[in-house]
Amino acid sequence: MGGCRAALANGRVDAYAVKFIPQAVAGGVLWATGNTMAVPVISSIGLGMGMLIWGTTNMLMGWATGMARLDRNSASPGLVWLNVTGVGLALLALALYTLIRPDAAKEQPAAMRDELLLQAGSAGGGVLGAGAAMDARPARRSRRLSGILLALLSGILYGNNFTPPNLLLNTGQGPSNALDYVFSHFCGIYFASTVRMRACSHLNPDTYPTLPMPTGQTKPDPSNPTPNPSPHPHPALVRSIRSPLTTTTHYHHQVYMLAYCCYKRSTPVLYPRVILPGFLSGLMWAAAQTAWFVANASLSVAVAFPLITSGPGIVSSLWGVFVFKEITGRRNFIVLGAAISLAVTGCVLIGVAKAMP
Amino acid sequence: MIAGMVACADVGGFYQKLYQTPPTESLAGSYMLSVQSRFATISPIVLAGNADGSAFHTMNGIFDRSSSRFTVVFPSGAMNGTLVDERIAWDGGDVWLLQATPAFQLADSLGGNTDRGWSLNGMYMDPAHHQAGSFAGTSIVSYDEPDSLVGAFTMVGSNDGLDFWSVRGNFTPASGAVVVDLSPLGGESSVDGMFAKGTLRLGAQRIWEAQEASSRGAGEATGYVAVAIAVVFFGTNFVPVKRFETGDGMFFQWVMCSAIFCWGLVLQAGWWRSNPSPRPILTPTLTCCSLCSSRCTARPTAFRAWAAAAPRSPTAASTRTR
Repeated sequence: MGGCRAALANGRVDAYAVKFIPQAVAGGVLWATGNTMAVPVISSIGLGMGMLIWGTTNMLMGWATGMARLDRNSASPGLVWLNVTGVGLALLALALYTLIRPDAAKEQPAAMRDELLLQAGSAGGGVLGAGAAMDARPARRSRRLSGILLALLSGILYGNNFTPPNLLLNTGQGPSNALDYVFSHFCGIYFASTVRMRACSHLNPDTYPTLPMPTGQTKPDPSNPTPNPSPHPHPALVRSIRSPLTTTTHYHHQVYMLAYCCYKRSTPVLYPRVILPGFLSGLMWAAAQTAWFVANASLSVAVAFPLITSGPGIVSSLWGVFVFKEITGRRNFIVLGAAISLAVTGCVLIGVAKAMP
Repeated sequence: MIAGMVACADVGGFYQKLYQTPPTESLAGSYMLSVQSRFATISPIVLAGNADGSAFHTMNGIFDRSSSRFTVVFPSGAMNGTLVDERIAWDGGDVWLLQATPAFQLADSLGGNTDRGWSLNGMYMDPAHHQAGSFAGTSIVSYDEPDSLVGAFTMVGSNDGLDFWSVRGNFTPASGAVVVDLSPLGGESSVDGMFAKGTLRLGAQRIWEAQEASSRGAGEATGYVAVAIAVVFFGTNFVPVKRFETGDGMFFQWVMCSAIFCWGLVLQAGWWRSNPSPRPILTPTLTCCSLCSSRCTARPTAFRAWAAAAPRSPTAASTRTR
C-alpha cells in the first residue's frame, strides 16, 4: 500500500495505478441508457426511422457540444462555415441510407437476416443485439410519437456520452491522457446495464409481455402483479416483443446472464459458435470506442463526431455490397452511391475546415 | 514507501501550462522538471523551459514529498504549488499538466535556418534514444542567467521518457565549445562538446539535434488515425457475426460485452504506455487473457451442461425457433 500511495503522491504514471474516474462512469451510464432505448424505438417506429433519428441527433448533439465548447476543448474545429457545410452533407447522407431497401427476395439464414449490416452498426450508436426486434412492424400513431421522442432522447444521450470525461480532461482536472478514461467509461456502461437489468428482472415473464422501460420510468411495483400497462398494438406482435424484453440492449455480464437464464426457465438459448465472432465483434467495438476518445481529445468533438458518426455507414455498406451481396438492384446502388459521395464530401469538408486557421 | 518510490518513476517529467486558448507557440509554457534526489523528503528540483513562449530559462526550487508541495523561484519571484495527480496547481492560479506524450511534432531545425536560429537553448532530440510519440530521447537546454545567451546552462532530459535527469554546463558562443558536467549521470565531471548548426555533440558518442516544435502534426495526425480506426471498426464490428445464428441476440451480447470489458481491463493495465520493463505489460495481459479464456470457454460450457440437464419449458421453446 505504501508503494501505491507513493506512486499517487509522486503523481507519476504508474502502470498499476487504477484510474477510476466517476465522470467517465457517468458518460458510460449515458451511453448505456441511450442504448436501452434502441429496442422500444425499433419496435415502435422501425429500424430505419429509429436509426435516422438517433443517428442525426447523436451527430448533431456531439457536434453542437464541441461547437459551443461545452466540453472546454481548446482544439479548434477550424473554419466554421465549412465545418457546418460538411456536417450538413453528412446528415443528408445519413438520411439517404435509410432509403436503401434490403433484398426482399433473398432469404437470409442468419439471425440478423432482416437487418442490413449497414444498419446494424452505423451512425455511432451501439444497437447491440437489436437484431431480435427487426420483426416489429410500424405501430399506431400514438406509439410512433413516443418512439420518435425516445429516439431523440437516445440520440441526445449518445451524443453526450463523452461530455463528462471530456470536461474533466480539458479542464486539467483529470489525467491528461484520454485513454485513462476508457476503462471507467466501460465500467459505467456495465454498471448501468446491471442496474437496469435488475429493474427488468422484476417482471414476471409469464404475464403479458411488456416493452422494456427506458430510464426515467419507474420499476414495476413488485406488489402489483400487473406489469406496466404499456399499449400493445397487435397480438401478432406479442411474440416478437417478448424477445426484445430479454434483449434490451443492456450490457453483459454473468449477473445479467443469470437473470436471463432465470427468465428462460433454466433453458437459456446459447450459441457456442457465436463465442469467437462475438468476442471479435466486442474487441472491434471497444477498439473503435477507444479510438473515439483519442480523436475527441486531439481533433475536438466538433470534428470527431461528424466524422465518426458518418464514416461507419460507408464501411458497412461496402461490406454489404461486396461481401454479403445484401444490397442489390439499380435503385439501391444509386441511393448508396449518392449517400457515400455525400458522406465522403462532408467528411473531407470537415477535415479541410479543420486545417484552415 | 521507499520501495514504492524506487519502483515507479518520480515527479520529473514534461509539464505544460494549461491554456484557455491554445498558444501559437507549441512549446509555450512547457518545462522539463528533474528531481535531484529520489530519496530525500525535501529534494532540490531543476526546471528548464519557457513561460508563455518567452526565452528558455532555468528555474530552481524544492519539492517536499511529505506535503507534495513545490517551491520554485520564477523570474517574477518564488511561488508555491501543489502536486495533485498529474498536474501542478500553482498558488498563483496556473495549472501545469504532466504530459505523457508530446502534443506537438518535432523536426530538426536544420542548422539554424529556421526561427530557432543559432541559439543553444531550446528543445533537443537524441536520434539514438528517441521514440516517436514519447519523451524518450528528448531534452531542453536553457541558460541559467535570465536574458542571457551565453555561459552557464542547464540541460534537462530523459532517455526513456520516464526518468528525467539534469546536467549543467557552460557554452562559449564564439568557438561553439561546450563543457558539460556529466557526473550526475555517472559520467565525467568535465566533458567537452561542440554546438554547431543545430547539433550538440557531447563527448564522443552523444549527439543531440536541435528541434523545432510544430503544433500541427503529431496531435492532429493521431486524431485522424484514431478516426480511421473508429470508422473501420464501427463499420466492421458486426461482420464476424453476420453469418451466425444469434437467436435473440442475448448470448451474443454477453460475449461481445465480455470482450469489451476485457479490452477495458487490458487498456487499464496500461500496456500502451512506454514502459521501461516488460513486467508491467506482461502481468496484466496474462491475467486478462486467463480471465477472457475462463469467461468465454468455461462458463458457457458450464451453462450448456446446465441447460441440457434442465427440463425444457414450453415458453422457452417457442421463443426462437425459426
